[in-house]
Amino acid sequence: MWGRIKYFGRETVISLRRNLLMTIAGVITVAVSLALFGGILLLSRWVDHGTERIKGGVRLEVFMNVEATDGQIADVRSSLNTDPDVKSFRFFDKQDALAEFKRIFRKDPDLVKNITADALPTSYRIVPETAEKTSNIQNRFEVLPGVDDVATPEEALRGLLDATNTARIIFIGLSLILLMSSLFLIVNTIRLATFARRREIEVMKLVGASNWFIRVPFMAEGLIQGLIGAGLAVAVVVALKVGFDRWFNSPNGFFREFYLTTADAVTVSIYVFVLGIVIGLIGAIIGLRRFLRV
Amino acid sequence: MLRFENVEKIYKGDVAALSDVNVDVQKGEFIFLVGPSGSGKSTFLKLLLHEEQPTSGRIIVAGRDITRLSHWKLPQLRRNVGTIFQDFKLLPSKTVYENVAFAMEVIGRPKHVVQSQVPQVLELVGLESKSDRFPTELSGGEQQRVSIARAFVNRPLILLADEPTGNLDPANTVGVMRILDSINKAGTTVCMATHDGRIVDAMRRRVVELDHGRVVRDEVRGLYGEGGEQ
Repeated sequence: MWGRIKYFGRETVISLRRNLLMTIAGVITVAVSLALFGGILLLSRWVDHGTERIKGGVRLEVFMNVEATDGQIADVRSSLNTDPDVKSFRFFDKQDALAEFKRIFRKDPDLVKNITADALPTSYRIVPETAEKTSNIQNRFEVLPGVDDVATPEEALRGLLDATNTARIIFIGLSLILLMSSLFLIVNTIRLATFARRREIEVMKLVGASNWFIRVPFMAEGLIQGLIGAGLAVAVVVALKVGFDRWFNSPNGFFREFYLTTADAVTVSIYVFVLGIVIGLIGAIIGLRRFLRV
Repeated sequence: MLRFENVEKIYKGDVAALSDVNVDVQKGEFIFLVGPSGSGKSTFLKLLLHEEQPTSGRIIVAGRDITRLSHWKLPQLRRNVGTIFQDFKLLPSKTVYENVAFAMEVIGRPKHVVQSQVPQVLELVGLESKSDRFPTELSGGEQQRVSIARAFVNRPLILLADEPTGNLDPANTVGVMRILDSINKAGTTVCMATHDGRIVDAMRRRVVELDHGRVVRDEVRGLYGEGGEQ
């Protein structure tokens, strides 16, 4: 068994070196396309976190007084239920508010430490029937008893959400095209490798080497290209995560609600890695298909 | 050991390369396959190696009908059938020893078996002193002996030889035939396609002659031309 592993390792390294330029081209394209893909996933998550409040078309937030009575809160709810301009709404209790507060001010632990759920207001997040109804609703609810304020989340955030949705489609399209070309490059590298070793392959078939035995070094070659490319792309993803943390960390800035967790970076890295492995293996399989017919 | 039953082979849209071929070869036999170019000798050997499929009929190798062999069992057939060619098909980047060892390594034989078998087989073909040479440093006869060693090192039941002496001078031809003869005497069935009448006449073994894809002669102790024992 050990002898076999050594054999496969040796053959793979020889083959990778023989086609060094093609190998490098393959690795770089895999890396670039996966980095683009990982980068856009990361950006999407960053925007998702930052725009949670306006997800699903929320344009209004009715904040109750901190001391508002349950009766006042219930009255506002029934008004919302009967208001013809309100399409839907959802209630944020004090615990929800605390969770959001902690998230927004995560870089300010002193502030978070001293806050309790009781000190925070409850609120309603409202989706109007049409965007034009926003100010009507605002005017009607501002004056209800127990209501502190009716806020409209920044329009700029909404613009950003739309822009990133467009960017997401464009960049995912671009990275798919690049992923295809990296796949073709790997296919080509493997074809060249089988061509360079056609005498060995002929002899192996002649003496009865199993198909798997012949294929494994080439599969390993494709896999290694995919893995190295994915490794480089993961490095880019990690660098982006660190960069996002550093560039947008002002507690009062426009992007204060935007953030990335370590879990985000890990998830994206796993996607990138799996995709790299899949591209390498599929490239090798396609590259081997034609040549290995007896 | 090796049987063709009513075998017919028609290449795409062309005339029959083999038609109604019936040949039965016993274990340990040595047969010559003779006939002019295009008579079907190469097709005969390709069918045995499963490189081509017969259009109809059955081919039995070592008790197994190889016309219904599934793709993944093909390596097993190839391990039972050693092959040598006119152009040797040696790997130029490997030494004599490595060329022979390669045939064992790629079917997963353990290292200690390789190390004990390869020198034995090289001795059998008389090349033990040249095991570190590269193929380009050898004469044609020596290269063919290396390829015999490679074909034989895994102890196949059958050895197929396609014009093995086609590129060799008479002295080297004799050397190669001696080795094939001794391999045959040790129990391996040998099937050799050749144009070389002198070899056939000297060996006096079974001769199967093909012409236009048909068996026109099958003699137990034959000559290259007509006139052997029926």
